[in-house]
Amino acid sequence: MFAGRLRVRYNDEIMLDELKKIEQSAREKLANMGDIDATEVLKIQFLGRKGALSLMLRAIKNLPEQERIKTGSAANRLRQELEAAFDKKLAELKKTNHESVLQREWIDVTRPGVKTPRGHLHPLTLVRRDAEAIFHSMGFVTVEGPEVESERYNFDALNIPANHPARDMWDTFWLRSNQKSQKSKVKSQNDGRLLLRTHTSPVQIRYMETHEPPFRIIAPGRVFRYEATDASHEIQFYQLEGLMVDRHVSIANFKFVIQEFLRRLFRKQNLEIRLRPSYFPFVEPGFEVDVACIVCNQKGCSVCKRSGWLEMMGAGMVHQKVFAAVGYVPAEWTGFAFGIGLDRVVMMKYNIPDIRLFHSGDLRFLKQF
Amino acid sequence: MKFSYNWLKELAKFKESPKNLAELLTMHAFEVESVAKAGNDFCLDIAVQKSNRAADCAGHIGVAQEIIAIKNLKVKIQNAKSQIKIKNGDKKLLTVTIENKDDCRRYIGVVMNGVVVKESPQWLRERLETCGMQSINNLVDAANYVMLETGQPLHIFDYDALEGRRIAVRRARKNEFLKTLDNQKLELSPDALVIADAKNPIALAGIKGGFDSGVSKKTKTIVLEAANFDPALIRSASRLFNLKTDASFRFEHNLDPNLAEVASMRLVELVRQVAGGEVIGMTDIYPQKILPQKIFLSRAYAENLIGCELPARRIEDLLKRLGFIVTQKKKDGWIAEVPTIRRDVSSTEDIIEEIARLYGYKHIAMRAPETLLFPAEPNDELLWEDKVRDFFKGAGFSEAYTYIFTGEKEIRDFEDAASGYVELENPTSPETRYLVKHSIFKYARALAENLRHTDEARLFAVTKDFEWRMNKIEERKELIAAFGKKGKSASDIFLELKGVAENLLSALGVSDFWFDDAPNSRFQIQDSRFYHPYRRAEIKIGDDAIGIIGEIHPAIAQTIKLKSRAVFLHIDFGKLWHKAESEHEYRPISKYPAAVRDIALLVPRGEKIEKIQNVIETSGGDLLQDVDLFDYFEEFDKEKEKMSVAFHLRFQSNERTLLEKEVDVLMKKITEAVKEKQWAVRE
Repeated sequence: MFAGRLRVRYNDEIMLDELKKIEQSAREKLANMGDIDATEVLKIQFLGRKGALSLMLRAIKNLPEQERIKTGSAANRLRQELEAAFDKKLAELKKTNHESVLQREWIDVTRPGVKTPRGHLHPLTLVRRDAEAIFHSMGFVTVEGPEVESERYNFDALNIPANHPARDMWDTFWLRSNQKSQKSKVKSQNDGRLLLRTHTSPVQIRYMETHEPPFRIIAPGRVFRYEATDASHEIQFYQLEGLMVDRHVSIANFKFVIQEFLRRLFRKQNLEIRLRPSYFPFVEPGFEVDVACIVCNQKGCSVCKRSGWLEMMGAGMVHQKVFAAVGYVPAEWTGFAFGIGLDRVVMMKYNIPDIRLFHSGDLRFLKQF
Repeated sequence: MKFSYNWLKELAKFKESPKNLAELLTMHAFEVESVAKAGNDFCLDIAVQKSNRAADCAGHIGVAQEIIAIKNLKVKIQNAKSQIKIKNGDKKLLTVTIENKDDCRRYIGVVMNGVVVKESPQWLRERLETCGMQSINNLVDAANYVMLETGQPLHIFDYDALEGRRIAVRRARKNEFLKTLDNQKLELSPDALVIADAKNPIALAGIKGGFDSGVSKKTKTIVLEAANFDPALIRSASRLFNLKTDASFRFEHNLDPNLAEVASMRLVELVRQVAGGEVIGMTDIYPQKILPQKIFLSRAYAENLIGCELPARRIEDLLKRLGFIVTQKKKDGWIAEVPTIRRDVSSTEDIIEEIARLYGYKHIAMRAPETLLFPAEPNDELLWEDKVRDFFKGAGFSEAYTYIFTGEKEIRDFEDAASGYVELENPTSPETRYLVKHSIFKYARALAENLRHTDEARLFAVTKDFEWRMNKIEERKELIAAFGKKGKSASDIFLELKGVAENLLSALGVSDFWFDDAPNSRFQIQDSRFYHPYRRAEIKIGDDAIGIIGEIHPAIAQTIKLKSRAVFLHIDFGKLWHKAESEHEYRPISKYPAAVRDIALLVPRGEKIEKIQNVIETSGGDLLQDVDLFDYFEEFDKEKEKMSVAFHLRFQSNERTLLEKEVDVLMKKITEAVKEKQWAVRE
């Protein structure tokens, strides 16, 4: 649109005048711009390869040197100024444009999140893992054993002979032998009748039969007792057995290991424990381990029945008769063994009032862990 | 077992309050389970048997001795024997025979006449009551009192009721009966030891007296029995007749036969005091006298086992306080003579326990084990188990624990037969008669329960199945997942769980798994009735079946009142973890772009996607990297039921950018292969 006129006259005054007109026109139009695309088009009209200023510059080439220098530098300055003005305008427009787009993209972040399926581990699994991790850090290995056991592994090898009153400590579910099979009768006669293990202690025997000391093992697992169920008694529950055997293992060592374990398990660095005499046929000496009540800190509460102490586990130094039963050389080894009821720990830890919830399979319970 | 605080105090002359006494005993000897006020007295419930001390501490004297030892009191408890003398009476008054000396180690029978049966004096009644016993009459009460005092059970027969002035300790014969004191009629057998007169059983030895020979108001002459029986025999008979008595409890714990003598003297003394009368005869059969055991104790071993240093004099002192006679042997140990009443002490470790507990466990300082540091070898199976648990948790499943017990009804509900089930001899209820053979039933039930109050449930477990197989009980670890969602079609639920299964197997590093819809293995046989016959597949790794996935059979779903369609996954965990592979190798990402083409087919209904994919993959060659089903629907018209399926085909090379024409050629090959199967390609 300017080209026709420009071709007519080639003197510097006219040129400078033209430049002024271009500037004025550009600034006016730019000031009214409200749209990015239109502004881009306008920019090309003024500053593009075939835009007004470019044409001017090309025309300036034909002027005499003096005039060329004068108008040339003026045209270049104008070009820079306009470029800056356009860029500024465009940046402003982009910003407001973004802003409005963003505004339109508003979502209500106070709406509840979409429920994606979330899985849960059973609280007994969680506590078992905690316990295992602590013992692993102290060099213990996790081992397992069968839940259907023989009388030999569950009782006899653990120095609990038949018709011994100690058997009263373990009310047992006995299994019927397979009537059809003569062979199995012979087999089960060797190892005694079949039963559901009443404790995890048979794992001690099975491990020792196949391993030589020194070693440290733990054996978590399900155990079964024949009894009436209520909020604190179950026919199926969970134990964690521990066994450490070496040349010189002592009561003092046991106290160290078990206090360390309990302190870490309950995350209480000053947790106190105490040992008191007790009897389990497979250990001698035998004791119970109590912890200072973690609920009331020994101020007296219903959980510890105002005694300030909670029964945690049975334990003791492995009986030499047990070592003899697995074929170890007499008097060569000493060791400690213990068995913790995991259900009780879980119940204390999460304040669960009824042990039967563990086997309910109820998601309203499971989802809390 | 109940003890009177006043009685203990009278014997041991301590100063402790009931509470402090309880604490003292608990920390050094046995657990005092409760302390309760009882009139002017306190009743202490002491679990002596929990410390295996029922042989010497099932009476007040035993516990008092223990207190004296713990507190190191200078008190001596007098035995009755030194105060009472029995003149040797007429031997013909009573003949005692013992059939087998293993059954009965000692039998003392004392005949007294001139006794008067009446009510007991108040002090005696009170003592008995504090200890939880009822007063009967002065004679029976006296026997019970001496039992509470010494721990030795005693019995009193009416002498005039004895046929032939005889007492025989023998096994019962078949078809013999006994009417007990509490009027129960027992049918006896040679498994039971009885006290008999010349004709009939008059008491179940060590357990309960007979009705006809018991003390009555008319009783004038009595036989006091203080005996010692084989503990195992008493225990088995007590279980056989389901009779647990104060006497049987004590005898089971292997009493000291020497105690019978002390107790009989004491009973004579007490009977004279409360019922009058004189001893006119006595028989004591004691074939093999029990002498104190001598056990060597090494000081080094004691210190090693306890884990702290103990001065020799301290060890000697502790043992002497407990009534052991200790003599130095060489420099490094002692010979300890164990009082016969301590039937629980038979090894050097038993003696070390005596030292440790009397010394006090709280005085043993903790000490870290001194042992070589050896790294714990990981247990692969359990590591995989926990990996699987984590996987399912991540996939939105919750871990549920269930019982291993099942019953007739549950087995019937799932249309299974009880064969191969492991049966319990003593179930607590019909629901615990068997062990689960298919724990999946438990999870189906748990799922149904949950869907009663929620719209969607995802459960999983690593659990066990039990089964008689090849004359052995097989204990199999199983991985089970259950998924139900209301308002979703069965195929949606199926495919979602199948996706979970595929992810699981990939996550465990299993690559060559596939789903076989025409299975023929143990899973099919065992679980076939559980699954919908046309909506299940066997999961295979190579040729090996490791599990099954399928919708629950609608008939079973109805029985257990499932409120949505539900799909189950069941994998033999043992097989799974053995196939799992933790070592992955990195495969380079191709630098060259992929060419993606689509193909849409119209195929007869029933044609399997797997087969179609196979045809495409085989004809597409190595450059065809992925075949992905993205559209699937079934068209029903009158003539033919057709399925429309469409796939994305991804071609890619690791060496170069594929040319359009190359892909065209491959596509043509694929199209031809498909047409050969009479499947229509939609343009």
